[in-house]
Amino acid sequence: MNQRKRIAITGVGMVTPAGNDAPTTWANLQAGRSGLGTIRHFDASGFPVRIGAEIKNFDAAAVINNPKLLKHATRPHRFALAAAEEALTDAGIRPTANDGHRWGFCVGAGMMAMDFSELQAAQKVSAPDGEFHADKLLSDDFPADPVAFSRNQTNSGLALLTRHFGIRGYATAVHTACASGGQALGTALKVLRRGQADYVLAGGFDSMLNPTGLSAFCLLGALSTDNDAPEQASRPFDATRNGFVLGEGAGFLVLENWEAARARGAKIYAEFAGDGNSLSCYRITDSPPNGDGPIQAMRQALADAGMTPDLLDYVNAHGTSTMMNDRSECAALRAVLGDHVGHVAVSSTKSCMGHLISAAGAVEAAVCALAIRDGIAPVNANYHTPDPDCNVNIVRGQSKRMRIRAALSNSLGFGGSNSCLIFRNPEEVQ
Amino acid sequence: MNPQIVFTGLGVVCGAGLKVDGIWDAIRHGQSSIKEITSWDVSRWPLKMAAEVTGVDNRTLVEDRKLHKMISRTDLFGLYAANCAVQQSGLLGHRESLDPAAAVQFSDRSGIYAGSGAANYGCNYDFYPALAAADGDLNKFGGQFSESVNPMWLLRNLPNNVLCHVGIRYNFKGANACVTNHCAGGILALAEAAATLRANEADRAIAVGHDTPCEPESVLHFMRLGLMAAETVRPFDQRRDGTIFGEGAASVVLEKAADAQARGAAIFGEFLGSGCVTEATGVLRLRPDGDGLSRAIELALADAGITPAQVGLVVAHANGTPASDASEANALRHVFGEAMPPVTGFKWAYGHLIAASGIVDVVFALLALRDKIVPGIPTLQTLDPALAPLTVSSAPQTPRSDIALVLCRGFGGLNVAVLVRAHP
Amino acid sequence: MSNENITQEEIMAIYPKVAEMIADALGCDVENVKPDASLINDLGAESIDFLDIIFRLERGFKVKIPRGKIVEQARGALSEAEFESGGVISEAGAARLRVFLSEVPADRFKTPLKSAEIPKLFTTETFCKLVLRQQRAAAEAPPAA
Repeated sequence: MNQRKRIAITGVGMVTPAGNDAPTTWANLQAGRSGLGTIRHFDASGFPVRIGAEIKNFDAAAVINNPKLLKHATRPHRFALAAAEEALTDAGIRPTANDGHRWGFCVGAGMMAMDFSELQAAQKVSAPDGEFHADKLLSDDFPADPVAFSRNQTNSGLALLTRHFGIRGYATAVHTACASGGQALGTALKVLRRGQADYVLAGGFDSMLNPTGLSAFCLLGALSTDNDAPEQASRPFDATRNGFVLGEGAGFLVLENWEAARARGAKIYAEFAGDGNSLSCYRITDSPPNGDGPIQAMRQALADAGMTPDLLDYVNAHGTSTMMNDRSECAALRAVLGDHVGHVAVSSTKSCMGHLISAAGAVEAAVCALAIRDGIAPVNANYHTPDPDCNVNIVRGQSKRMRIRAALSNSLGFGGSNSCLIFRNPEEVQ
Repeated sequence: MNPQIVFTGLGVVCGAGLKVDGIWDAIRHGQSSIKEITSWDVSRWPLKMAAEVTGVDNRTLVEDRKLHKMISRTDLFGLYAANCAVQQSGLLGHRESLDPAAAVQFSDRSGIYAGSGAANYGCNYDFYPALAAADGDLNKFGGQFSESVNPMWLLRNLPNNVLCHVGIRYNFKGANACVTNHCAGGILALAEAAATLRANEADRAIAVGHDTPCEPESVLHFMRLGLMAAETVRPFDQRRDGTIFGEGAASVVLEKAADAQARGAAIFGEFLGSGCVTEATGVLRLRPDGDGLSRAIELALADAGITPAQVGLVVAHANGTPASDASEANALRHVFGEAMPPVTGFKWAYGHLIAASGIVDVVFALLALRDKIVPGIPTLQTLDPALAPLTVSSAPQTPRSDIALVLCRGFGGLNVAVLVRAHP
Repeated sequence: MSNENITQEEIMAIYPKVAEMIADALGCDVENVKPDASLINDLGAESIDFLDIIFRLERGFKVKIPRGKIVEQARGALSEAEFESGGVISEAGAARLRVFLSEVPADRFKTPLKSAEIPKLFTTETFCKLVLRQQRAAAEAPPAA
């Protein structure tokens, strides 16, 4: 392997169901306090699934004091703006007119753009009887709102954030379903190593917690139906698990060249040491029972980080709490970690904050950075009944104080895209 | 030292046809596939034109019937184009000739990069019957949607369907991404694929861009924003009045040159470099001075290690909107000054393929280099004097070298430049 | 919910329509959708296809079929703990399944049977019976107020 640029994580920001900023989220994850509950921000009482992992009491205007900007921001965009602002403030550096062109932006962006109220308004005019009529779009009653249009493009979030923060370099948005956030960070790592940017603001944002998003997952039978016990509904790796809990939120990280970060005296959470990226080529929603696909991603990430599995102390698992995903992921972990599997603490923080879909990988990377900094493996909440098919060393009962030399984070998406990221404790960097 | 990256397979489907050579002939002969829209009744619509893919059976695009229920129209195009590129590359036959262990390694080292349009309006219409029945009552909607919305709805509309199904079809399991960056998606997929090979994170990759922007609600919004042309795309012309949608997909297979030569593959050109920047101007605005595009071109030149004088032709974004063409002309003058190579654009021929627009232009830039011709822009009658001097023409021109620069611009102030070279 | 009184005539009466819907869902030829074909093993169905098939049956036969409840119906009066433990079906559970899935040839029931493998047993007839059962349940139910 040729001499690679070393990349540092110097800022983290999160808006999650477990807390509206990184410190609150992290404190709640450590305490195993659930951010799951009955859905409140729309009336889900008639749905087969009425629980979710919502962002609560979030006031975007308190973080981003710019009403005009917020007019152009959808619900998940607002989470993204707040998380990115927190990450930049935390890093103590942000793009300026002079160096904005050396800043990159990589984001895992959710697939759902349109607000449900917009969809309803459009339906009322263009499909009053349920059937779409193109000519009705030409009616003066049709709400052809150009601001809504510009909010709802695939890269609207990218456009909004790069403009707001003055990022003028490489900019991309990726979507590989639940792996999006991880892939966005992986792309950021490559962009920095290639020298296409000196700094990258990287992360993910999503909210499918709306009537259509909830319907779509209900139809697939992918969600836990434990409507009466939302706080226990997400129980990754537990034998009684019965589906994931749909969440929303955003996570962003500031990434920069290691030497530059050191030179400016930045606090460094971790080295972003490796990225692995594979396709399962199996089925679109099913996970390969033997872990094929995730195995290659993890091995690549380890190789990319120049590491052997025995140097890993913590895995933040994808751990959605669906039967198939958790089984497949554990098979992959056992294959990759081999004899060392019993020594690696594994937890899925989705147990406390649900599944943030396109934001999941980014938020969980931020969690890994904090886990390394504080020497704490956060608890896998709601884990009571072991599943023989998930035989890994799960952080059970409470969070575990332990020095973490390196942490691995998995994101495994519908469609079989697998992303694996590795973070190294700065003290381990020679 | 970067390994040399070459193209060993090309595939395109668009309004102009299903075969790369046929489409190329049409471009050279000045034939446009922009016609009156057929996918909905446009008799009352003020704008009626697009370059649709018509008269093609879905099973011609994708043979596997079962797949049809799990994917959408844009995915059919993506899978078709990718298949053309893969078949042409001969990679599958090559893998079959390997011993089993080497074949596994081959698959694990084969990547896929997709640029997906995603987020069409039409997919939401599947919810309309349930919404109409509920008449604003969410409680009712929650109890009834499963009666009318197909359980496959989410899967059908996943932006990464092409990535997934190309993977399953050819068992390519390596590095991958699905870029959902509006118009830049397809060409960034190509650039990322090439960068991945350079960094030795994969040995070969399929890049594919696909999109179906031509739907009533998109046309409506583009029209209201003043981005649509009444009749056709007239790049850089005094009378230009906007763009026209096309639909389709384009795909390329990229390989390390050494590998391609070792297995005796036909080579269609070489990837030299890329540049990508945003102007940080928000979704719709762009800078009149062409700053982003100039910087993207300069980054691509630096990445390729060449000077502006070495560029033999430019396939411009040339989307026909007043603002984009004007700023594009500024960028070209800024980079090339007095010594501008011949400039052309292809959207008059197959419309604006949005997420597939840049990658389809790369395919035909390679053919322009092969045939040493820069096709004219037949819809260009009078160059807008405000854009002069600009080396565009309605008649064919001759490239001044074997290197082409392809430009692609999109919402979000995105600008991407890619440089390719003919293979000797 | 007993199925002993579902007759072969009733099943064969709806079989052609059910077979056609399954063929559409799986993208295969209807001739291959034999009454005793295992949807997973013989016709290549994956888990997502069952959702699609149920959706088509609901619309085609105007019945409501609760999602993911086939196994629950099969369990009948047995509690979850009596039916399976640690992902493996108990003896009582297996006996109950053999009755509920009487259309499935006996040699396809493996011992021990994992609960995850139950869907591999489902045949075209299983879905015919599902429709018939739901039609009866609807007929027996008191009219909605």
